[in-house]
Amino acid sequence: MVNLNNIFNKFFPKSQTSPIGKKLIYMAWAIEITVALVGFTIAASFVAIGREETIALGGDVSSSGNIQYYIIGLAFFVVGIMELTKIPLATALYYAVRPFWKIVFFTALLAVNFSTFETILQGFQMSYSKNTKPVEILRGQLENLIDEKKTKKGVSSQENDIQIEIQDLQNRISNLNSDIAKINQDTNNQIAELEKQNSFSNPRIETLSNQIESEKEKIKGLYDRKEKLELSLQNIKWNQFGIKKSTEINIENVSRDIEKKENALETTRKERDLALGNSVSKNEPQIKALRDNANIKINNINNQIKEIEDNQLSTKLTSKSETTSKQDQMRNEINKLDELIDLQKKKVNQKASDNSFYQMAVMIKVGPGQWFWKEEILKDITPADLTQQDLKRAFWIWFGFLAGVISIIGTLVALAGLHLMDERMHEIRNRPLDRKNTIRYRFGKLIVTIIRYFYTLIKIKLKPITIEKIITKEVKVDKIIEKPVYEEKIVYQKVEVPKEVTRKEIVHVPLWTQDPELLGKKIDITTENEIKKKNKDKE
Amino acid sequence: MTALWHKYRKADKQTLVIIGVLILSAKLCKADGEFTLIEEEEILKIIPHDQIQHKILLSILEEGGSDESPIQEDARQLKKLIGEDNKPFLEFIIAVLYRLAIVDHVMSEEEIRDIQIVALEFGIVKNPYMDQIKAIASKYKQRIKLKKWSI
Repeated sequence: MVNLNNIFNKFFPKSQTSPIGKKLIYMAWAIEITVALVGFTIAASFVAIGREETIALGGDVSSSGNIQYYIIGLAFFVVGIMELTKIPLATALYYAVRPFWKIVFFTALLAVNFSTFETILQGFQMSYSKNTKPVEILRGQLENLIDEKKTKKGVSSQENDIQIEIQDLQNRISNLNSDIAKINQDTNNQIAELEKQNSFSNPRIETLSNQIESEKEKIKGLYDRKEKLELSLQNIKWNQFGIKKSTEINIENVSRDIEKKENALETTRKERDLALGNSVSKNEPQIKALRDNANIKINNINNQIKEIEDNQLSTKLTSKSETTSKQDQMRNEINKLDELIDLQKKKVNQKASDNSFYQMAVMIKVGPGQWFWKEEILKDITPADLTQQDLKRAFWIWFGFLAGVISIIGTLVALAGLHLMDERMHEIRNRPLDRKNTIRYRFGKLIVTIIRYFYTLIKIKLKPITIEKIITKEVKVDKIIEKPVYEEKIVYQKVEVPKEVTRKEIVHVPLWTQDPELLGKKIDITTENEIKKKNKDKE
Repeated sequence: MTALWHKYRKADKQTLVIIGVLILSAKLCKADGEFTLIEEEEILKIIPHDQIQHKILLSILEEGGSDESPIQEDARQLKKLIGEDNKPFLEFIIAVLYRLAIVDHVMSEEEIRDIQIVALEFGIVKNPYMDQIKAIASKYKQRIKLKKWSI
């Protein structure tokens, strides 16, 4: 049987996509109507809750007390109606030609989608608070117990804090003591410096000091000389040419000189001490002032130390001893709290096991929490271990994402339907790409090139790396030893045989003659030879 | 049901639609008494096909041309297949017939009459006015590659 289906598809391609596009439009309407119903329901629930609350407060239902709930309800009613404008707006955006209208309709569509997102999120929020309420009550109790334990632990850890504070105070006291020592040292240094300056300022003292130094040097030299002479005297065995005697005389002389010099040195020293004594007596008031100043400072520091010891340190020590006595009681209380916390955790886990949200929150904490937020999971996580932060994150990941998808899916489905129903789509699809110089074409080409580049890059990265290694293995191979075969070979060689060549040369041999004709006659050798050759040829 | 429609009764719906278009085209081209080679080539140009389907299309055209039944009957059959809801497709067929009618630069009275009959049968127009048919043809001018002067 003839089959021309493909011809039909090409002949009228819209027939292929148009029905699906129509279906998509219907589905988009279904989505939008449902979302609008959510808005209406939320509006109704607000009104109902308002009435209940007004009755609970003992007010009259008809009074203006619950009018605010009607206002909120109406606001959500408007949101519900607004949902129904999404598909017409999408159609307007799709068929808009001018950029101005495109921007206007796109903005309107974005605003409506955002309102849908909020509405859906509100619905999820209501459901979330309703579902998690029983677990949250237990979790609240658990958090109270944990807080209590923290407080107790804080009290027990006070001992350490007090100890740290005592340590601080002791450090301060030791610092102040070191300050006193420093002040003393500084004062002494200043006094010494003062004395030194005075001594240098008096020229007489300086001269005497120099004199003493030179005298000392001289005495030392004399002592050395005396020692050498004594040694040489010991080496002399007998009085040779009177050397021994003269050496003894020398030693006596040197000893006398030393005695003289030492006396002179003593006198000089006395003179210098006298001069120094006079100068010290001049510095006395300055030194006294320095010492008084230092004493004032030291007294201040001592007062500070005393104040720290009396007012602060003693109090701390007392409170430390009190805390230490309470420690055992605290420890017992903490242990009891631990037991209660464990019990409460079990209750929370039991209650949360029926709630899918908590299971999802645990999974998010264990999965994406570790991958994206670098959370350290050191043990098995249960719903009782979840923090408020974890729950909020799970809510936004799960319900936030869902709300986002619901808010945009209606618009996207409507746009897809419009596209499939559009006549122009097939024309554009079948249009040959003949204009290669257009910006659009070049941009498309660039995108394709970039994608291709990254594809190749990833392909290369994923490709296993082959490392070429030369491995030498010993393999037994039967060796065929080729034995040399000796064959008799006849080699013809051209040997040049030397030929004897006889050359005729004319040698001049003088012959003695007395013939007068021949004497003085010149013989031409060349003509002679030619004649001989001709004769030979004739022969 | 004419003998030709009876022959292809077991074919797919889509195939039948193409056969119907071919029959209508052949009958329209033959309405002025001569089914020229230009008209045949134009039909084959409008109907996108593969090389292997070329002979089949020619044979259907020949069968359509030699069929004695009135064009109104074929139009009715085609409308039955396509359905009343698919108005754009019916309009497109009228546009195709219009293009075939003007391919030889002369639109005969018979051709005008036949197009009007088909358009009335399809329910696209309520009165046999050519202006309306021209408007429909201009709607699909890009797809059927209709030149400006012809409208």
